[in-house]
Amino acid sequence: MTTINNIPNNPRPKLKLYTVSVIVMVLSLLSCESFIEVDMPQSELTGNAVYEDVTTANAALADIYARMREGGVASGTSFGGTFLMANYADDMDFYGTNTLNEQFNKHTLLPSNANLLRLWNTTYGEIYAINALLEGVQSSAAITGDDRNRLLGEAYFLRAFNYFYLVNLFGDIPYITTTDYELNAAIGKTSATEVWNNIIQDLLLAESILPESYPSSARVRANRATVHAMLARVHLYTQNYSQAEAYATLVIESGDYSIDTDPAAAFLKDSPSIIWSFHPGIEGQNTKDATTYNFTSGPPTKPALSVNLYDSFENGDLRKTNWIAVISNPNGTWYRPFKYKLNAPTPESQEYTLLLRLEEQYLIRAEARAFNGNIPGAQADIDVIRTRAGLPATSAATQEELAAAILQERRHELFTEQCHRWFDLKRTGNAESVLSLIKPNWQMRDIWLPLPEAELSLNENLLPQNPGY
Amino acid sequence: MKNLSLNKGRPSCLCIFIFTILLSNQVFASRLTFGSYAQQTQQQITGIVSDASGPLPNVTVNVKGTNIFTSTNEKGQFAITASSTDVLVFSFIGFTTQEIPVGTQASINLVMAEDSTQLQEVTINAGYYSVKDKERTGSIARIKSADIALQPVSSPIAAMQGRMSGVNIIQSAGTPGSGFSIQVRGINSLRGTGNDPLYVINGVPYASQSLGSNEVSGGLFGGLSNPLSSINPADIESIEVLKDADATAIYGSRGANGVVLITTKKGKAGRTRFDVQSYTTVGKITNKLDLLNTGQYLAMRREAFENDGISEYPEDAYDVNGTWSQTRNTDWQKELIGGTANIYNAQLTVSGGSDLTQFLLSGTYRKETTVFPGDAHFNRGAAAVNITHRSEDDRFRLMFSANYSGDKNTLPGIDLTRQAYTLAPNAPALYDDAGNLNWENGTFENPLAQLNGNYINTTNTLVANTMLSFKLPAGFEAKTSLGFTDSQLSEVRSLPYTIYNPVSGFTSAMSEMVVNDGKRRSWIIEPQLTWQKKWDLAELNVLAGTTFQNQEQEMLAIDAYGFPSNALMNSLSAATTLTILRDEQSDYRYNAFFGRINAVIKDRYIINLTGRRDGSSRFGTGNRFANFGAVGAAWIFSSEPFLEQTRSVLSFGKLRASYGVTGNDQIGDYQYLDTYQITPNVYDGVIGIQPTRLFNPKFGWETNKKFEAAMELGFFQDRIFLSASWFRNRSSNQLVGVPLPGTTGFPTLQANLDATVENTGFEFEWRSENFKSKDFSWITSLNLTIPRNKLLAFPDLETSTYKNRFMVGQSIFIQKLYHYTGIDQDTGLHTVEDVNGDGAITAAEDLTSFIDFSPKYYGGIANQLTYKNWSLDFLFQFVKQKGAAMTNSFLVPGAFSNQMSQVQSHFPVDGNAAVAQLYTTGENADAVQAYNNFVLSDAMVQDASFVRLKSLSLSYTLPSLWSPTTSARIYLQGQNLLTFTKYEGADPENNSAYFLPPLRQFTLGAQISF
Repeated sequence: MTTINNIPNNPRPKLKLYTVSVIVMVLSLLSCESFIEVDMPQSELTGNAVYEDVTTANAALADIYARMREGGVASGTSFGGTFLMANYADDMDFYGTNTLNEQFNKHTLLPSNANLLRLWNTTYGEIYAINALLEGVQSSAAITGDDRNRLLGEAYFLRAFNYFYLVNLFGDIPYITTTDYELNAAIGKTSATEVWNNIIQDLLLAESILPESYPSSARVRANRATVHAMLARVHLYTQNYSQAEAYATLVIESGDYSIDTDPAAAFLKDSPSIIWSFHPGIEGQNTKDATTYNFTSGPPTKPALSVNLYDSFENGDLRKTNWIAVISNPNGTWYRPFKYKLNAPTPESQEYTLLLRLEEQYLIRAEARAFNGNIPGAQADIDVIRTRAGLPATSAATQEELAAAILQERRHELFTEQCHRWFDLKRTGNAESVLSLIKPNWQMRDIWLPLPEAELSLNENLLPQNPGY
Repeated sequence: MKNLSLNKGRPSCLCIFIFTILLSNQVFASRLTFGSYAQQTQQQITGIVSDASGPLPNVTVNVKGTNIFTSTNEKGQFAITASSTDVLVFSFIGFTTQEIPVGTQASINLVMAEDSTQLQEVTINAGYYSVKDKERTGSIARIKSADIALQPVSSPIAAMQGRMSGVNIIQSAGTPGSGFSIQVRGINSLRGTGNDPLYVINGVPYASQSLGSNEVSGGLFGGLSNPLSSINPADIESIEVLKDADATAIYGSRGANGVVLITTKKGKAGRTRFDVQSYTTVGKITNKLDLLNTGQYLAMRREAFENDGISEYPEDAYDVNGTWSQTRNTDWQKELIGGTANIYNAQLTVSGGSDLTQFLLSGTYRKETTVFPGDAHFNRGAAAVNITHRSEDDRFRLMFSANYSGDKNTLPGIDLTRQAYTLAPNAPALYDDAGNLNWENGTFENPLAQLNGNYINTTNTLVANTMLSFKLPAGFEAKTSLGFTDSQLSEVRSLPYTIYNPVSGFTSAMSEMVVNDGKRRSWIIEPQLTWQKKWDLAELNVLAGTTFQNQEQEMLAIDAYGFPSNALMNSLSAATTLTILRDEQSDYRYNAFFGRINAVIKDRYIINLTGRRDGSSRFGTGNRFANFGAVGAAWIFSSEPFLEQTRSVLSFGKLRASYGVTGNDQIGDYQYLDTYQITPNVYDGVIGIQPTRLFNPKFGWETNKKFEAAMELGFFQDRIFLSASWFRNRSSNQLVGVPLPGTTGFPTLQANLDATVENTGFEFEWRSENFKSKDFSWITSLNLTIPRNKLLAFPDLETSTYKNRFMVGQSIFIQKLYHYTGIDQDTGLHTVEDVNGDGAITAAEDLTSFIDFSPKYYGGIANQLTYKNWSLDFLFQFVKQKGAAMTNSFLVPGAFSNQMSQVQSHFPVDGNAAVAQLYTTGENADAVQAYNNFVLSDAMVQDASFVRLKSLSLSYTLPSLWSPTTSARIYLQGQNLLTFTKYEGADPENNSAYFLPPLRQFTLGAQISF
């Protein structure tokens, strides 16, 4: 710049230049509105774009499965329905300092309980994602044929599965089928009867469009047999025994499933009895359930398996020795569920959380047959389960005895799995007689969980609260 | 780095930039005459400056129109080089500035006259322009470096506390690097997160949203780290807070919550000066809670078991069943938060320069430790550079500044404060005889195990700015401000398995590490043109400019779980499982035109028009631009001829008022879109994508209409100066995360709600020179703010999701609580009023007691006394407010957790007078429910007002012993020395039972300049 010193000082013509410059400057500014257009970030996609491509639609579906594994009614995490309701029923004795779980275990549940709200919100969050997928795929021009059927079928199945748990836990519930938040924010309750009908409708729709084969290498996604297994369960719960028997038979006789004779292998990911399980996510991980229940010395700092349950097993029951861990020291003896044995990652994943397995189908059919008066058939189905457990054939011979035997067998077979025990006690009318003996705070209101208080204050159309809360 | 290049904008945008450069080149080519003028004869001028009582030291002597400065020594002597055509300007605060042409004089002796009205000549930075305090039409509060230096703080926000009217600052925790909340004239937005002011450092907007991730540090130490804490207070020359519409409307959509302008220090021409400052501080917690001792605690526990009908203590009730000593008594507050926190801070500044070019370089080192056991500490290295240059013909000016700071904060895995309050007093020793952590056979969750884990936060921040200006003919001046910021934050929280009780049987396969890397870069270009014209009776200032701003942000949070051994925990690649918790990139673009027209007529009628047209990428395409503007006016009535007679008493009088509209766009990026985001969830080899938001096309600006009227009065040559202002801000079109019921699948929806929040208030400032002589002076300043917040309108509130949170006509700080009705003398349990009489206590119907937790008034009183070389400064901060009692953060009395000692007064022994209900271990569900209702009732509201001796500083300037240009000063400072309050918790300010309260600190420091 020092070389330009000698240019003559001549401001007048320059002033014109400034004026022109300023005008051009101002004019150029006025056309800058496009400056504030921004790119979408690479980590986000708009809702429409997701369903213009099968790959992203599959990713949206994968996320729904994964979210159900990480939280909600069937999750094995310490906030999931499995653990909370195992406490609520007589599967678990309370230890530790977690007052939120304590309220479930001791039946002092408050509508303000944060785990209750979390269970509710997580599950409805999953239902939103399912409805978004249904709407997206239905209106997509790009997803057609088998892909379309498979995506829709799995979504209908997952919606039915979630509502099955909600209706059993809460009774009358808001039944959501759209993504319109204005509608959903002010929705009222739908009667339990109607919800049950809707569940069956969704399952029948899924049955009609899902393929027989699994879309995944392992049995971690829904196929037609999965829907049949669920239909068997739903019909049993609604006491439609002939349908329950028919669907259970479809699964049992499909030839795709069998029961491994070794109870120790029942919860491995390759177990032939698996109809549907949660993939643990990243290869090498195992179940959430194993970590949730795990403790290695006593007294435990979290709930332990109920002593009452442990003591109720018959002598020689292989499930007692294979599926329960015993922790002893001079101060005492404690038990914990040991169906899933791996509470840490392994080089390759070995255990998946099981959601539907053939053993349950035998027990469903046993119960359906018993109530339909087919006593030998019922006995035969129970004995399939008892034989694997190393027990003699059942001595129950009447419908009443069979009902009691099946309840007991279900307790021993399905303990700490997805609310089974609580639902069994409730639907068979045994909740009060069994739980009032071991839970001093038991009240009749406990048949239904309370609706979360925060939810009621945000949407008064959900009032009234379930009775007694 | 993506999108950082300029050509990302459209060609038209580029063209303006190029044009600006071309323009400058033209200008250079034609106008610059570096070194081509004939040199005037320079000579040394000496002299003595005195006032009525003798020689006056520290008088600034300046060659007019240059940056050549010097100051008088102890004897009032000065020496400066100037030419015969120069004019010397003599100035000193409190005296009338005098200008003396040099002419042929080689010696100039001068007697200066006192003039308190000098205060009015101070120039205030208003962002895009500066204004003489006297002619100011807007509301601007200010602190200077001298005020900041009175406190040993690491964040500039801390230095503002108690010193500015209308600015309410709360320190959320006493750990190093912890957050502050700041409100300028109350809360305008119903959103909790949309109330930050706009921060501008040397003209560069500085995003105040934390780069910290909730997955890593949310809720650990009173909130995520605040980016403002990374700005080194010692490098700051002044902080101005713009409050009303007149001052903020030029910041348009970002001015609604006020604007905080931070200006860093600059060099001065003259001899090269070295300034070394060093201080060391010791700090302790201000207050301990009065908790139960072992005897009292065990008595409570035993009674609780008896009440619950449990005769045999459960095996996990280690405190009472004999597992733990029944006599051991530990003061856990002393053990866990009773340590001494040290600060060591050193700074070296070199400054100086020539007439045309000046510089300042500064480096700061700081180390802080904590009151926790262990070696937690905070380290900072900071550097600042400032260069100013002007061409010899004074047409071209350049200013460059860069401020960098690198912080590393190593803290324990959790804040141990909560444990210090709640651990049973008979809990076992922390260490066994062998010096290892004591787990007492697995029965004791040893809090010090948390020291095996830690939280490390590393922050690097750079703010750089270049300002180029060129004077054009006819009063025009072209300017361009080019700014760049770069913030990087890396935080790691490690949770090795050794933080857990060994009975859990964990191994390093359970060790976990959560890391987060956040980056934010922004650039800004602001070309501006100003025009100034003076007439005899009037002066006109016009400014027009435009802003292009781009900001990119990235965050990547990863959870690493399962390690072969804890020694490998520093390496993510060693983890068995890596889960991506958050992977976000966002891009924010902002474009605006702004302008100002200011007219001063007859030196006493002033009108100021400002406006801005703003566009932001945060809104949907149809909704991106909006206009903002304000009008301000002032009348200096004391300059009217008819008040000539009273001027010896009323030396200054001004009325001013302003009205205007500003906006608020603090809502995050892309919020109007329904988006799917990649999640950490993997299923069967497929990485999931998840809906993250509901679609919302109706998404617009939040607008804030501000009105202010004020009067400023100076008496007796402004020795008493006071100002009073009243403001009313109405914020509407509220952008709110409307809470949604869970059935919608989402917790909230961002939407404009047609609700209006009003903040009104009265601000009062007083400054008086109570006494002034040559040796002794005493100055008092006071600020007082009486704010009032009110929800003016909220359509359909009764049917909205906000029904239980707000009430029209009430403050938005209200909380709806149950009305407490005492302990039922039959059941022994707390009761609250069943307002609707339905026999049940429900949130929806029975929360009818409204308590306003906003401050009723707050302020500060500062005094400065100087006697010869001694100077004493102290500041009292006061706040009148209600707060939640600390007891409501404790478990139900009788449970396995310590309590405040007041629960000893309990049912049934204390009957009607009992504080606590019937003790229960937690087994009595009715009692637990009653306690939960009690905690949510108005019984838990306490007077949390306080008066605090916030800071005290005593300094002594050593007589110049060895050279007149050397000065040395030593000082002693105290922070949070005394607190007067009725509040029964640890601290009425942070009001928390979870986080460390602010500390009481003592500082010893020294400063040498030569």
